[in-house]
Amino acid sequence: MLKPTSDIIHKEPIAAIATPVGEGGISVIRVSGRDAIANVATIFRGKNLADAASHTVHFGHIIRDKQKIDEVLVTVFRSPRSYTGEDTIEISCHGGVLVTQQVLEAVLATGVRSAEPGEFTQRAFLNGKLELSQAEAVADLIHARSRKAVEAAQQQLDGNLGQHIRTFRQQIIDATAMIELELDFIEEDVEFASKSQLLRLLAELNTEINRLLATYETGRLVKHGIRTVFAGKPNAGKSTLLNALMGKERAIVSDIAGTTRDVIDADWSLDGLLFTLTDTAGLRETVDIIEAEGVKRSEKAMSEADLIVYLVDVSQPEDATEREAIQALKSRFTGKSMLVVGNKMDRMEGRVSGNTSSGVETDTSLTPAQQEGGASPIDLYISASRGTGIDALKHRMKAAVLANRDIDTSGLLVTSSRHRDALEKTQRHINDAVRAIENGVSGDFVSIDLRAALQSLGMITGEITTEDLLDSIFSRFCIGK
Amino acid sequence: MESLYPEFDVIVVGGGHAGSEAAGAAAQMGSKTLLISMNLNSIAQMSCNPAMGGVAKGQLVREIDALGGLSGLVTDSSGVQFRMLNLSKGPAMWSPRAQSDRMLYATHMREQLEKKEHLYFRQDNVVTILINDSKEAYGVVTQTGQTILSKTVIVTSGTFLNGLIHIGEKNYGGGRSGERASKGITECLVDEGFEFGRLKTGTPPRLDGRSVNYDKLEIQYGDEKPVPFSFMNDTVLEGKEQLTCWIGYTNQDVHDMLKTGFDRSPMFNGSIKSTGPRYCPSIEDKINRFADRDRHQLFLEPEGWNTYEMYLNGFSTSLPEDVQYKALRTIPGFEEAVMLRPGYAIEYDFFPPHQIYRSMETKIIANLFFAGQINGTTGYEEAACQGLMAGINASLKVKGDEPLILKRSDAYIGVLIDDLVGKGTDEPYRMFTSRAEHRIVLRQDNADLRLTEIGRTIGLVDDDRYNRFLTKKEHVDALHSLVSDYSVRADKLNSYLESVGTSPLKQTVKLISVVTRPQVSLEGIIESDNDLKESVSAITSDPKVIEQVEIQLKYAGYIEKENEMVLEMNRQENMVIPKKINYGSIKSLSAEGVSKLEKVRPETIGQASRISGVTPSDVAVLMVYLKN
Repeated sequence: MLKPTSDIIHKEPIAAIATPVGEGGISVIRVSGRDAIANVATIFRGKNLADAASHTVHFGHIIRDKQKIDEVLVTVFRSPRSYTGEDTIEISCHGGVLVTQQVLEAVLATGVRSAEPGEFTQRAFLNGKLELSQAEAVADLIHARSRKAVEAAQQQLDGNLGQHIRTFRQQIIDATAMIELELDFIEEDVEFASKSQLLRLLAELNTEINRLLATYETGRLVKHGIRTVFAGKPNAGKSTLLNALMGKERAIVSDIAGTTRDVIDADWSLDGLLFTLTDTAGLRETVDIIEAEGVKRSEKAMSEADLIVYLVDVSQPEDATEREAIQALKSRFTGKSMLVVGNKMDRMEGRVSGNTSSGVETDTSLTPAQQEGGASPIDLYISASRGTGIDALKHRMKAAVLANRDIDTSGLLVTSSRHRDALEKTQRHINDAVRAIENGVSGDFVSIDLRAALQSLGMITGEITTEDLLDSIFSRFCIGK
Repeated sequence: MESLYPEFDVIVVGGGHAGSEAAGAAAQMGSKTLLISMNLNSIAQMSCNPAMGGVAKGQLVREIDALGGLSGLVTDSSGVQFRMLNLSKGPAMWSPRAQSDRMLYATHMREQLEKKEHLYFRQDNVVTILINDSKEAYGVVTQTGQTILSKTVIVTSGTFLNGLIHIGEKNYGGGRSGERASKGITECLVDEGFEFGRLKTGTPPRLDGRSVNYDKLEIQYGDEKPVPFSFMNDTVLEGKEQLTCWIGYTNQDVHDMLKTGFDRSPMFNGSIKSTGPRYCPSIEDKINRFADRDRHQLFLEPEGWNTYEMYLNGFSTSLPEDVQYKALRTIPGFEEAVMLRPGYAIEYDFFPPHQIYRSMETKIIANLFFAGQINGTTGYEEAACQGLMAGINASLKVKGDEPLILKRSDAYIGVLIDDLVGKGTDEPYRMFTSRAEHRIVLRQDNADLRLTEIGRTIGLVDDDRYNRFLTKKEHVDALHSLVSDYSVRADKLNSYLESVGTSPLKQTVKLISVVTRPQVSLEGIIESDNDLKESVSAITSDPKVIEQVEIQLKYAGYIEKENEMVLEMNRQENMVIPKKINYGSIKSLSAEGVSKLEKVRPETIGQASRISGVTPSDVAVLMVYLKN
């Protein structure tokens, strides 16, 4: 049966605005899940919520980046005495759309995930907290979400990937059928699969799955975009460059160092490749608290990036500490693609450009010499404000990402981590089957592993049925004396 | 309506393999039972080949026997050759098969049935099933105009409902070679709202064994140590020498000869429209579908101890008789063959099995049960086990008890019925081991341990069988606990281990760690350790007990894993869906899900999840709905 009421599952924390969107007197933001109370405690100035008893209300402020966002009342519900059965906090704030949104964002920034529609209700249901009338709503929800998932999966499966997965599936079915044939039709006048024939089939399958798995990283880049972070000291011109690349005013640009206080994201497509551009606050020691927070986030953004474009303001005299900083970044983020770009080449004084090329470069990776402290670390020079060298930069960005990656956007890519997991599992079961065959284990046991492999693949394609196996047997072998 | 007869508890319509088991079970369980057959001289007739069991089918017979059915006993007493198939595979694949004396089988089944105190017989043809306004069956009307009342009716019509026999361009009504078809039942049930369909099956020609040149055929012997089907028997054949079977092959000349009749073949000229089984194709179908094969195997089976009639398995055909004859005489070894009966194809009515519950009772008409080919299956064993379950459940219903439903993890019988009811079938359904997801635990060797207790509870297992079972079980448990704790010494065991080609021991180890080696047998270990041998003989000398414990130990890892999966699966199997559920009112179900669920009307969530077209999200929605 389903979970008994006493058996509460504590899932990852989620948050959402629980009241209707609009200009109500107050809005309620609900947070539920494992560590929900601890998470909200970090942005709540008032009573220490960690000590608060269940069903108590506390007055205080929601704080973000050390600034008060709103005056709020916080209600604490401890598991299992809550709507969802999990630890839950409800924040009642002033009802404006903007304020409510800001409070929610502050909560999300603590590592809480945004709830999907109906997710609270679903949790409540799973934890046995629901009445009849609400269960129907949950049912609708499951259906709506699964339909979306099915549609998405179908789209993907209609392409080349689907073709491939279906081939795998058929191959495993055929291999299993070869084994089942010998089990169920021992008396028939048919040739049974030889051990070597089976092993060869499984080895081929393994190679194919490996090839497909290898595309996962690339696939992810194509699907989710290449996370590109613009870094550099304040006023190196990062936002200007962003705007130059995007061809529109996206970031707020000024001459005042530190204008960009937070991370700004934008999507930008280049020759079919999606770049997610992230402008960051400049990297410098700062006394401005808000900016300090921004700097912290810049670091985080870089650590998650696929490509770092580090901007050096070459209108300024060379700075030994910056050179060291670049070196430090490179060694910290080895394995990431990184471009060091000299900006403001139009105002370059006292510096010698090692590379004024605006042409096409085919060298896609940074040479070891470039990483040594002696040579200039700068890969190319541009002027973001005048648009000089932008095409070359684009080319270098693309090349840097594609280096060592066999990206063929029209080809076969595994983009979903769910698919990757399913393929890996499939492969594990195939390896078990191979080991079993090699050890001379009887077919009925090998079949267990192969059926498990089919089941794993079934996570992508849908379930395997015995009918498929029998179909494979009857279509290929003359059965029946 | 006036009736000459008293009211019965159970009427079984049809006396084939399903009908025999149904009547035997119901009567054994104390229900006043009437078996009506069109011909009481052909009870449990083997209309196809004279053999029982085989892979997956042998398991079914062992299960029937373990529950207290008759097929295993009759097979043992009428067998002319016994073989255990698949011994080179894991124990789940071991499958008993026997060649039977066709006439003895029928005779012995009738003898078994005549022993049943509450069982009555009547030779007649049922033309109508009596159904009242509450949609309950309450008796039958026969061709002779008799009305016979009964609390329940089991229909096991085999190929007889509107049976149509084809030989070449000729076709005529008939239920079996030499017997007439049964008309009336289909029409009566269709009036009540049943959906019906047509299926096809066929048989090969029967030959005069004296006209065959055996020098040109390969011989096949029975096992040196024949293993009985029934848990009640330790031996079979009483020292009689087993009969042999023979293997021959067609060739291209035979195929060419057969092809000359294709234009007159009912298979190819459109007279036969219904579907036959893919795993039991006619010879013309084999030549047609597998054109690249230059020969097909034939299996010549003796029909019994005292007859020269032989059954040419693999040569099933509905080609014109002259073509059958000429092609037959082209086969090496059959140049002079004399045909006793030509092969034929037969089409018959069946009722798609989504229309019955797993108890075998129909959903539309209460107290009416279907078993065997009427549900779209093929095979004696498949029919017999359904008959047994229908007989059991009709009897339980009369007593006002809950039906006996075997789960997929209990028995092949459970797999078969669940497949039929949940998935339906569009060709005659035959059992394969690959259909059973838990086949590692559904073995022929443990059918008694799985089912005899159940058979006892419902009153089908008699004292003899039950006591025998209890003794075996007790011995198995005692031996299991003895050897589980036993340690074996290197000096005692090493010469045995080396003799079977496995590495010697360096020190004393647990017996269970040695017995899991593929080359090692429990018997081998017992024989090399006198102390152990003595302790074992104090418990048992029954090789079946030793074999059972050996299997339990050797495959413990697999069996445990499987048992966990069974537990997991049974959580869903235990979630019952109310009979009155209105799927259309659950708006979150997918449209296809609703239509499939409405059609099948599954009894549990587990069953719902196996219906094609019912998505996992439909199942989740159903679970949410049922939770409340």
